[in-house]
Amino acid sequence: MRPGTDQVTFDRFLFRLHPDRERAGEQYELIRRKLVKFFEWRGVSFADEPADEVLRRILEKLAQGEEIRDPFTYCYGVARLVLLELRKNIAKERAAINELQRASPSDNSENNERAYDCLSHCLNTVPAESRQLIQTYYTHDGGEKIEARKALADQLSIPLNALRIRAHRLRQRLEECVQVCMQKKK
Amino acid sequence: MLEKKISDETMTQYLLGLLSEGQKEQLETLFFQNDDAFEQLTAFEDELIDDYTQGRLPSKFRTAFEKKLQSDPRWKQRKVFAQALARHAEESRSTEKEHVRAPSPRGFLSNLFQFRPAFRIAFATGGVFALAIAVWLGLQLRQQGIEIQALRAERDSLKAATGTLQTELTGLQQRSLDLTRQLEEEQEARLSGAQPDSPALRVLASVVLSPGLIRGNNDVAQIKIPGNSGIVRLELDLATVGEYGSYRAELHNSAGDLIWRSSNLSMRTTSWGKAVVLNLPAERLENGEYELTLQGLKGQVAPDSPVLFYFNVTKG
Repeated sequence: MRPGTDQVTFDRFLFRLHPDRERAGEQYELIRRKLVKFFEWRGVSFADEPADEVLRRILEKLAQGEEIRDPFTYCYGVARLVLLELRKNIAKERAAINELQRASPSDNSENNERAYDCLSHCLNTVPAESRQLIQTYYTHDGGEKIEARKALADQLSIPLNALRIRAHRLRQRLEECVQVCMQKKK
Repeated sequence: MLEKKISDETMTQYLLGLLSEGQKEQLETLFFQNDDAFEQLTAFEDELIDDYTQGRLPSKFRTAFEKKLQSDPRWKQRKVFAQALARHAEESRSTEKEHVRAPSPRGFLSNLFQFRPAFRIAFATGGVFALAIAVWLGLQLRQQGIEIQALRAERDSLKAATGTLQTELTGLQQRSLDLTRQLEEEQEARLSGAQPDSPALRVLASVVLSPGLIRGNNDVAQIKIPGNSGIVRLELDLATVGEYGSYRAELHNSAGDLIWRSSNLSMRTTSWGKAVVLNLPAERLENGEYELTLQGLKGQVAPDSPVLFYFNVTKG
């Protein structure tokens, strides 16, 4: 349950997303992911916070008895409002980040080396077939890359787009793993 | 699909913040409503970062990308990750090239496994499928073998049961025939009432009957029986009947009731000619007209048409 909301309202929102509780949970995660990416792509540095703010406001509206017909479109509407509110801060935020980066320049080569080691470690934590997939997907270059990806999609009997999404999700897992690993090594 | 709706160029411009506010809203409305569009855009973001990292991003987008990189710490992290991934890929490529240049002397399969990852995956997947199919077929064959054995056992069991039932049926048929015969004999014995040659019985009347006389005619034989304790002897003339291995006779009263019956009667030679001799218990006969049916029997075949004899009884 989200902070500041009661269970009944949250359950109503989930039911509005899907009558099946499990599917509703998946839809909730998806809506949150879309919100986070929306704020990221719009240049908000800590996108999790406004994404949660959008969801909090929607639950508040629901608690007040407002009817939500299309949750995804409604979310986008609220997200745009939140983004407008944040706009003033975005410029300040960016300036602060740039200043911070200038004040503490990280050793790029050291950072890259750490990332490489962490990736080696993280690749060993995923199942062999996932490791094989990501290596095949990214190993080739140029025209060879396109052919290799087509061959891989054919082999897995999935469309090229589905392969693209599968590789992206796997990459996302690896990126998160690498971030955690790098934090530990710092 | 997204490719038809949004071009790579548009996605690049959106991710780098180069679209107008109206265009951004159009794209955002689409990916909030369409999950595929959203997934494609997130996957495209990976490729955009890879393209920059590996120097493939068109120059017109490089400045915008670097600007974004400066303002977005996440993209910075992602760029570091993309570089690490590219380095892994490069090393993997080099290893592959070495394997291709210097094939292992270990043989065809080893070389095949060291070939391109796509083929390795294909081969491994094919192998797993082949193994799975082989296992499945093996299990199917085993299951079918078990089922065939069970069916054979069931068939043998049914055969044995059928044989037993057949034997029982034959026995029952024989028993039924015996019982039928026994019943007939008992009925005959009951109907005949006495043994024809029993010395204890007195012959109260003796008549020779000829066939062909018509019921109710004045020429019908008249039999006068003086008492009840004794027998009435009927000699049936076979002159117009013919000679048979055995005969069967039935006696009915005028109402059609069966009064007496006997099988296995044989022809006898009397003083006046060939006849079938019947000894009827007098007590069975009442006053009135009777019809006697005589049939010649030829072994197991159907009897010939019966010959009728009529007589009238007067008891006194």
